[in-house]
Amino acid sequence: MIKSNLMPSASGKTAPQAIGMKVKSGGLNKKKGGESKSRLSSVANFLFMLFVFFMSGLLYLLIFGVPGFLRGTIPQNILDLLGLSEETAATQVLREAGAPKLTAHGTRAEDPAVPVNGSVEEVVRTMRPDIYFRDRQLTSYKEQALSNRIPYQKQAFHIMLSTFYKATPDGIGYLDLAYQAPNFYFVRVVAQDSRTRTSYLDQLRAKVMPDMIVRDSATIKDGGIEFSVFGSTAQPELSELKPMRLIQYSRVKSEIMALRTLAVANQVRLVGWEKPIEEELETYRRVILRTTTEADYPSLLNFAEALQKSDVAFGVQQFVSRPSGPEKMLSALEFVLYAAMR
Amino acid sequence: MQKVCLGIEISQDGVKIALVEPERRHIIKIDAVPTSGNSIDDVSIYSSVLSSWVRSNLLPKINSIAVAFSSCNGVIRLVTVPKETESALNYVNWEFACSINSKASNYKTDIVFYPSVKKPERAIVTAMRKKIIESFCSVELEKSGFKPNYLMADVCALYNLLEYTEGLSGQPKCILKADEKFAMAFWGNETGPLAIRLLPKDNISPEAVTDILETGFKEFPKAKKNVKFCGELSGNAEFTGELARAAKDLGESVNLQLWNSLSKFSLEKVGDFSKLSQCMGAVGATLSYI
Repeated sequence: MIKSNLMPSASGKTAPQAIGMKVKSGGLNKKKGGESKSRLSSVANFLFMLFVFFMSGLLYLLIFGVPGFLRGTIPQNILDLLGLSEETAATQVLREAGAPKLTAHGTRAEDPAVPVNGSVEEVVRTMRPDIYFRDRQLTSYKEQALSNRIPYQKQAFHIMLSTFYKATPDGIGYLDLAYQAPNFYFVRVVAQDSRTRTSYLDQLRAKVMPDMIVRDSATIKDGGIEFSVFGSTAQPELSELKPMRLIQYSRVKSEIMALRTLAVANQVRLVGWEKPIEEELETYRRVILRTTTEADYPSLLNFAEALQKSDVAFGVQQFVSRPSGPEKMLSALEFVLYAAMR
Repeated sequence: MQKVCLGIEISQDGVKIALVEPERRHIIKIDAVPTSGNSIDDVSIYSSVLSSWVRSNLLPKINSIAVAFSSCNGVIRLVTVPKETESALNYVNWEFACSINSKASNYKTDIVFYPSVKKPERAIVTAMRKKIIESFCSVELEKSGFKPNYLMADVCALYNLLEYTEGLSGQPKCILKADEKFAMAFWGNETGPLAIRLLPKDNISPEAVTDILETGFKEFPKAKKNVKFCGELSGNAEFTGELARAAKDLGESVNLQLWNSLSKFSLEKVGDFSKLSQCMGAVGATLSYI
């Protein structure tokens, strides 16, 4: 039987028996009014579903907090508006357990001429480790191929952060905490008293800092002693570094995405990764990412560790961190990647 | 009380009517009424002809109406679906859109796949202009009581009638329907329609009709060369005689059989069924209710 019928299905008084295979019939002649009404109702349904979804999502965030996979993706102003915090219980414990706190102090620093209460960018501009280490030969680093410098930087960055994390006792606050590849550091510190200061410096020396120059500030304010320490951290073991190859230029974007994903996974929200700076050098391209983040110290440390273990082709060329308000810090991270020429 | 269905076949200048009790397989009345124009193009002709016919005949209450239209008043296509086609429906719609000289959106289409919708090899596409369909759905026609419940191509109605009365096997069977202004032959077996040949009014002659029969049978060399003949010209003895002779004279002679009886249907005792072969499409249309 050919069950064919061109009449609109609604007009059929009797339903056709299911003998033939009717593939397409009816519906084509429906009035336009009916169509628009049904479209309107489906749009309304969709909006209602969207509203319910949004409200349940909001309720979830308010009750359970921001889930791990979303950390670093929700803009801070929205989080502030909703009164949410991305700090996990783990990072809170770490922070309260004596992670270095960057406390804002208005004291004036002497040489080196790092601006006091200047912006991170100003601090970055005035970072001149080469002044202090003019005579040091960085043979082990500079002899390395470009591709080997990246794992070196990643490990040195982690060493620097973990060293200061472990060496900082209670009563020490940082005004500036800076790192520059391969393994320079510069910190401007406020100790609550001279005993704390001595204890801190002793711990730093115990962490095998090959170069450590301490320069006291001229002023003691609010009972705190301000001083600067700079030098170089322990160097990574070259033999233990994960060998890397120069990546192809076409992979730069995917590397940026990988870096960002890694940062987000460690609760580090990077700003400015959208605008990489590219330099074409003789045989390779250098891609620099200048980013900033408000992540706390434990999160940064976790990120540095994850970066060191990862295959991400970005190294950390420079890192400067300073307070940006009570219990808050702002860090500038300058990542570098070397890509083979096209 | 048995339900009564009015089967109507609309041709270029006439309507064929069959009053049938589908559940009893009983034909109450048949008739062929000439019209002053094509009822498909002008639905007022259709309603006025039927109104006067109903008034002039003592009829039982009509429960439903099924209309078969001549293939020349719409579009009928037998489409072969290529095996590599991902979406048979899309392919058939595309093929249909390519085969007509106006927008496909102007047509209401009905597509049936064979041998099955899961593994389609062929598709019967029937289509008619939406304007015509809308005229059959008009309020005026509904008020007149002649709004059809089913609207189909005569090919479908005749195929269903052949299947129902004769039964279909793997062997292809052929039906020839020749009207004054249009002729059509089609072949089908248990897997569905296999081939269709159409002949426009200016070409209708015994030779031209035998020609489409011959070319059609070439596709089915093992088929028995029997043809069921129906349509307006089946009532024309002279044409039928010439056609039968021409068919016999073919290289492989074709046996023309006048289709004027239906094995599974009973006929009203008092009534004129001499025009049954002309009204097969109308009877076939009522099978929608079986």
